[in-house]
Amino acid sequence: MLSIVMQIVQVLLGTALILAFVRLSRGPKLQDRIVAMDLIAVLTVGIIVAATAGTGQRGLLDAAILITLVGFMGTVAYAWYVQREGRE
Amino acid sequence: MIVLQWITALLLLLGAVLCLLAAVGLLRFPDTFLRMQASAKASTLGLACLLAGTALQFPEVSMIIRLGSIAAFIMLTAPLSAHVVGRVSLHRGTPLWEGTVLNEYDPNQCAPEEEPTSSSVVTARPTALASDSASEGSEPSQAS
Repeated sequence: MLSIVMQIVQVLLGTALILAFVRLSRGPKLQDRIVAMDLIAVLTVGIIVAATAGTGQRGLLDAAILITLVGFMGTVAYAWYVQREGRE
Repeated sequence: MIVLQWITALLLLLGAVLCLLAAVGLLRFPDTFLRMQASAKASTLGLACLLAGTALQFPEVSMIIRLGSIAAFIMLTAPLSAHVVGRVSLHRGTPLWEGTVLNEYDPNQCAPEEEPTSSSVVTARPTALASDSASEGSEPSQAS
């Protein structure tokens, strides 16, 4: 039963990732793309956690922690550069 | 153990559905701020549900420490990044949705309307409500 649930979860998260990529490619402003990149990082962490629950590979969670840290730093850095560009 | 498996499956499905709702909100909402709100809140709750389901499936110390650190970091940084992005997009003058009721950073919309409350309490409230509804009716024309 749990394997079927894992497949459904992977399909749902993959669909969410595709929708976020649509917003990333379409977004009318730069802020929308930053928000989409933030959501993509969170969804990637979710996919890794779901894969950990499905396969039992313990080491995948370290990659999830790393992506969490880098995603937050990337979002703040993008926002900082956008603010600097808007000021000049 | 069967009950624990069912709870795990339910939590994982709930987390995945919440993440999908966050992505749908990011795609369908009409405004940068609405999109940011949808993605920040729903994705945080969805990821928390996914982490709780995984922690119920592997009840070991090392797994729970890693999952708990991911959850704590996401819950600390998701509002922070949403705040930073919202402030930046506000400073850049992002156009708001045309159905926006109140923009407190717009100096034209925040004129104080406190004069009718000075008469008496019983009659002040209906006039205040009437002026509120009138100002609400006239706000979208000001905003657009």
